[in-house]
Amino acid sequence: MELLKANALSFSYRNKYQTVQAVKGVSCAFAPGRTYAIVGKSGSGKTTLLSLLAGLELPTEGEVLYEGKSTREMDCDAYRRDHAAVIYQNYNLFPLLTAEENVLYPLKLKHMPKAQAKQLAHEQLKAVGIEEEEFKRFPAQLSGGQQQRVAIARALAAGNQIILADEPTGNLDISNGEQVVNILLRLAHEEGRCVIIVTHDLEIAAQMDEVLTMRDGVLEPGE
Amino acid sequence: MDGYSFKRLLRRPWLSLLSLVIAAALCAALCYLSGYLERERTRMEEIRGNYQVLCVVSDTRGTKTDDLGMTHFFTDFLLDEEKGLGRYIKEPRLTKRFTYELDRTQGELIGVSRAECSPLLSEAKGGDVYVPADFYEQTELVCLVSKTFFARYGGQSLSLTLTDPKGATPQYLPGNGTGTRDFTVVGWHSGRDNLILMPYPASQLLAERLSGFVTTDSAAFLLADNTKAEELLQSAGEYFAPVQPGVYAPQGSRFGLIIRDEQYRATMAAMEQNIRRLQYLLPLIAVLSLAAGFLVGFLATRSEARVYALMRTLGMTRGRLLGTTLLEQLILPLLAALAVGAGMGAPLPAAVFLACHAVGCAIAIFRAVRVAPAAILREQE
Repeated sequence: MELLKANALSFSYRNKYQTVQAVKGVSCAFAPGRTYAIVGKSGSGKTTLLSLLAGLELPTEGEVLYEGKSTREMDCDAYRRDHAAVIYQNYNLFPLLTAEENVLYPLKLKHMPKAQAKQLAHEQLKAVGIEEEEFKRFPAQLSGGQQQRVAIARALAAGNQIILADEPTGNLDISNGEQVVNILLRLAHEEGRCVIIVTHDLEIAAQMDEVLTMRDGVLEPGE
Repeated sequence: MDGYSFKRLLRRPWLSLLSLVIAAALCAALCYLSGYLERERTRMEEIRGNYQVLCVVSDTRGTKTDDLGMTHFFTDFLLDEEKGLGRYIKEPRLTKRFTYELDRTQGELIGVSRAECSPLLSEAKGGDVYVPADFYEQTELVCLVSKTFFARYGGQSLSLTLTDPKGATPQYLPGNGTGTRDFTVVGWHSGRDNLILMPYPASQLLAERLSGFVTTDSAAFLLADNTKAEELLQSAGEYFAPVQPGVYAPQGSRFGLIIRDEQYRATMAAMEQNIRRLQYLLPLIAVLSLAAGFLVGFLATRSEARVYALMRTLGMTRGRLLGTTLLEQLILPLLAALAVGAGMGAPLPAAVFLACHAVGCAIAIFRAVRVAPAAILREQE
């Protein structure tokens, strides 16, 4: 069953000098409970594809379908809030909020009762291996691996079915990188979420159920 | 407004303090100037209503005001409320002058219509005066003398041999303008011994009996409505022309009318100019409030693009982001406006300040929160 589908997606944008065709007629489908790696060289359009799948941009041609409904027709803010969470290479935690508050933030946007949100945030933080004494620490007081795990906890807490990760291990050492990848694999295989990772790292890509290769904005079948 | 907003405010204490100080200063300036403008307008209305503009009847050249010999046609026109100038004037000050002889002493007998006709009757100016309550309306031959005279003649009758200086001519009128009459001394004035004052109505009757016709030697009055000086001059034109120095009888009139309103006009002009300046200044401060709002909003949001993009990727709508950020930036100006507005008793100017400040702030914030959520990924790439 397809949860998310890209249907002949194209996306172009204009920079200072020219119009760049970042994605050209990409079609692919993503199912729940599976992991996907999108690989490719820098500038191949993989991050742009991720932003289209996350509803951060709307395609110039084609469409992204979530459960059969186009992102053009839905409220993209609500789509990101309720269905698609994004994890970034550089963590992107709110620097002034503690680890716990960072995880609570998307729950607040969903108007979840405070006590319930707090309990859920604690569960998610523990699930990604953050110790209780670290809940009240600010991002600057956490290691890179811990920050990325807090970012994953934030993405999970909202209960989103689709996890989109842009180079989630890019800034981590091997040990932390492995931890993060294991968490993402567990999310797909044990919790039935759809995990899509953009990565340069072919070793990580090899651990995913399916690999999609981007080249010059075009998707090629993976190995 | 959430905890994150408070943390951001606390993280930038100098900007928060600057925002608070600017808001308080501009709000106070707006409240003060609004109050000042209101007070100036009230004061101007008070001056317009209470300023006593004196009008004096003179000859047409404006050189003579106290020996006019004005016949009753002019006096009647002056006092007539329907056909004359009565509706434009108040407190008419009319006098009629006779000469008298008493025990080979000569002096002046003057009919006066009210205390303001002569400084000798002014208790306010420190004069030692006694005038019975209904003295100025009397038609009987009663009089006021100097205090020395009163000591001698108080309550008694004075037999005065009178001459009406305007009564001897023209000769074809009955009477020759002279005669002897008995006056009852009822009070005293603060002037010289040979000056006697009597009520103006009685003086008119006396003149008619001595000369056969009545005259008035001086006439002055106050404007009933200071804004109607021009209207008064237009209505008076038939009988009293505006004074033209060097021209004896313009438009055939025998008398001129001097409106002594130079000081009133100068005062009003100065106040109007002051009010006009304030009216220009107030919008300027409103614009400054708007600019200050923009500046504070700009400074507070210029380095927050990444945070706003992150909030958008987490699903915050642009409207909610705008609202939250605006509230975050307006909480301190709101507190300042509340405090200043309540402290200075000027809620409306404080509200105007807040509205202008909010608009400026909203423009800056609107620009900042327009950031596309995908910017965070592009930046990373």
